[in-house]
Amino acid sequence: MKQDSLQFLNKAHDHMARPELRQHMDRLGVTLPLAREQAIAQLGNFEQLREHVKNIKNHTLENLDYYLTRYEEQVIQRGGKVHWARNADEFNGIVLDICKKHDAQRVGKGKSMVTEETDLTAHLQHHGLEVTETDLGEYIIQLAEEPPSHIVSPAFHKSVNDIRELFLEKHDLGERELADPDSLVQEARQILRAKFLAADVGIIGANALIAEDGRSMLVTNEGNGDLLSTLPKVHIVCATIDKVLPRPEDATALLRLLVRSATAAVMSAYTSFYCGPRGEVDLDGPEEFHVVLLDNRRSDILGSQYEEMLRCMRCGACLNHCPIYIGAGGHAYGWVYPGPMGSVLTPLLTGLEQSHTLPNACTACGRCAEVCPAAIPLPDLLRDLRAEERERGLSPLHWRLGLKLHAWLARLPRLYQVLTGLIVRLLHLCGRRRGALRSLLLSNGWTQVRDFPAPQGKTFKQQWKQRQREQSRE
Amino acid sequence: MSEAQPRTVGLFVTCLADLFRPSVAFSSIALLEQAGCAVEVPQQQTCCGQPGYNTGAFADTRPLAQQVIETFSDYDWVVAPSGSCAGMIKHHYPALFKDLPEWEIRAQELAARTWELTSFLVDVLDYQAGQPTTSPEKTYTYHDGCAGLREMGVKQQPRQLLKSMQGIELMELEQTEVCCGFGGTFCAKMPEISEKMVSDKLDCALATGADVLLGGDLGCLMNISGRARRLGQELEVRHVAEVLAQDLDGPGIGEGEA
Amino acid sequence: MSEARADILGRVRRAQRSKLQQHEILEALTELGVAPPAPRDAEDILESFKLRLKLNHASLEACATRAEAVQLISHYVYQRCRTRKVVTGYDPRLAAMPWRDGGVLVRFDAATAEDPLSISYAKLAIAESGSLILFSNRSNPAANNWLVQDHIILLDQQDLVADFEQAWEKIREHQIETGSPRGISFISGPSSTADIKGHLVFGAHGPQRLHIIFIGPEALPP
Repeated sequence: MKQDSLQFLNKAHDHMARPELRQHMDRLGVTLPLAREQAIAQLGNFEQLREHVKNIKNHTLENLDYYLTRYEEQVIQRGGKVHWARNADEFNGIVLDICKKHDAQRVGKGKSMVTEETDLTAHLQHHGLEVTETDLGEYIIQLAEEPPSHIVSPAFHKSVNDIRELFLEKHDLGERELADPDSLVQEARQILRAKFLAADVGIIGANALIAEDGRSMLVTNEGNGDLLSTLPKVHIVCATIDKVLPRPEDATALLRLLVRSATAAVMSAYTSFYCGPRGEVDLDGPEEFHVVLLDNRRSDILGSQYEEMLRCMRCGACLNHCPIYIGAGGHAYGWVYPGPMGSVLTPLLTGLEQSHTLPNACTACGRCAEVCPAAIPLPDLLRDLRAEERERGLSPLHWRLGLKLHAWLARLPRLYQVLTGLIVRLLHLCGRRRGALRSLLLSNGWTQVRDFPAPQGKTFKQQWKQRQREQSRE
Repeated sequence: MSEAQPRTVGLFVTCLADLFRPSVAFSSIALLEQAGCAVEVPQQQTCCGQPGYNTGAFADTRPLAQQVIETFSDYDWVVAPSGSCAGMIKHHYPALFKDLPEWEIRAQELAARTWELTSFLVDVLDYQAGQPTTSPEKTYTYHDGCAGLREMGVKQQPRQLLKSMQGIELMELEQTEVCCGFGGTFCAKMPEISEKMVSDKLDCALATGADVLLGGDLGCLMNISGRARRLGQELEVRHVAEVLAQDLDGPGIGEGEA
Repeated sequence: MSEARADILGRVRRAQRSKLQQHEILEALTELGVAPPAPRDAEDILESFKLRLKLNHASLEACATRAEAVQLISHYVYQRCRTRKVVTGYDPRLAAMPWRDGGVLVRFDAATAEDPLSISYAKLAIAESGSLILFSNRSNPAANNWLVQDHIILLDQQDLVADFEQAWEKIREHQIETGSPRGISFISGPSSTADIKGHLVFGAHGPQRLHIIFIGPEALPP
């Protein structure tokens, strides 16, 4: 996907300039955390479960080659094929080759962040294939020719009216009302039903790959992924190498956390575990079954200080709980993954040069880490990325110098006290009457939008010394 | 506390209290002394190092952390009137010295003695003040600073103290677990998003109808009061220690000398 | 792309922290155990299951025998679809039911887009999540779960288990007996979407309604 993560501030500005959108996001930023909180409270053993899933995930990552190989063996045994892709180009090439081999014309796609990462749809379309996104949210943004703004609800930012106008424009179905979500969903069902039936190839993502039996776990509420796994003659599962888990029990332990964290529900409508093409005794199912595994720098993340990020299960809870995501909107992040998880993952997958603004979109408030079902210390990873940004000279020079100066001065307590004493005195004199300053040299960012509260007068240390002197004199 | 001799608290003043609001430090000392501690204020202290640390300047932060570790090595406890500075010492100092085992041990040892003020009074001292003598004249709400809330477990302690010492029942904020948008250097790096966040927070505070917003972190409080002042909103903003110690002679944060 | 495979696995081997042998890996995994027990909505698993189904927006009827189930189905099918025709897979349990007594015309096949309603017989059900477990094979082609507007699933009381962990144990037993199906699906409600501004709408792509018929003496109201 085309990336413009460095435009974060401009795009956030555009987002915030749209009051309706802003209001809509603000509401979600309140309702989604509330709903999740209730679901987690009902679960009762969130901390225990998340610790367990974390340990399982860590164990799997520590022995990843074993579990990947085991998974591959199982898929082959069930008559499927596993393909390995080092990067987006290889990945797209493999999928295109499979489609070409079957003379496919039409492709139905389920929701898959991996394919967003490689921009698979554009690649297939470029080679003449008709590709239809079948997850309703993905379908809406495909019609709107926009990238997703949320990893769970890609059309998070679209209002009912936006979608209505889009359908009226893009679906040639004559005059109709389409005033409510029900009629919009019915229309989409009708249009997409035809796509499912006509698709030659079904491409879906995976929420987990299970080494024990070669199955992949697919979690949806709509059932689109299941239709794509069943009706087309070729079934392709797209996943990354970090998605593997040892046993089916591990996948459903993760599921308990995933669904509650993502939608506050206890269970998704459909959770399916597929592997392999139709057998001799089956009445339906694909003739061929493929898995395409993407690395795309994940083997670099493995074993690095950012390894914990590979536990991410893409639930979106960190987005819903991040006031910066809610404020800036998903598109501001300029690539596939927004919010706190995106601010870590985007630099790791695309390079810090392309995205070093993102790790700064954080107040270290810690709410994301608190809710993260994979217990990923997101603020710590973001801080480490800021350290890299700094080391590589990507952060603004005046920041680096300013903070260096501060650190130097803070190590010289006497000089620090004299200098700060003088500055404080000056600020106090300027601001004492009003109590606050409207503008201040070198602190534009602060005083653009707020006053700078003036100091009370002398510093505490000056007053304390004075007091000690007086006491010793007494 | 079973010891007859009062144990000594080293007050970590915090740079914001030192420079902008000494009354917070004086209030803290008064409270700790009321609760039976001997309080000392080491003069070598400057800053805990958060500004550099949070921008990833780890190498520059280590000497500052070492300075704090040395300065506060002799106290039974180290107490800060700030969840974020206490959190820095308690959680991030040990992480800073992962590769220097000798300092890591010292950092952990300091971490074990370090507390946020209200949490120290309640959780360590189990401080029981006498009944409040007067009923509060104003109405109050409370802003939970993120580091205090999540790193130091500060939530009920200030509420409990406000109630038992001053008879104050808070009018609680909506969205109290959401950040006010300060975030240290964040507010200067991303002013527009920070503005939205602090405006939202201010709206929530005003919606309670309270006269005064209290909090345990001066960074947040200066942010919120600065925004209130810019918008001309009447909201008195104070550090919780000032109200607990009834050190209310001076104006609130960002207010002029009336 | 065997070159890519060798390259990726090589990089993984170099990067990963542990260099354990297979048996050590499996021992370590066994030591980690399974997840702590899931909470249940009620002490009794049947109560818990019923409550969950309701919260999952599925409807439920209960009866004591399969013959009674036929009557319930007959009524439901006619009420909903004004038809007597249904499609089911070649599940021996379904095949042996007295369909004619209820005037239900059964076609044993995979559903097509023209079928408004299908009937499946669950292998298992899970109280924790209100899920019905179906295997995709001859006894229940996957299309029957997703192409229709109304999906009826029968469940025998003895096949209800408490949680995911128990379900997997039973699934392993079933696979040993009857072979491993292409798909294993946990169905926990009708097809739904909240992609349009968070409004919950049913019948996104799959069934608009999910109806469970529970067969077992305890299911009956006292």
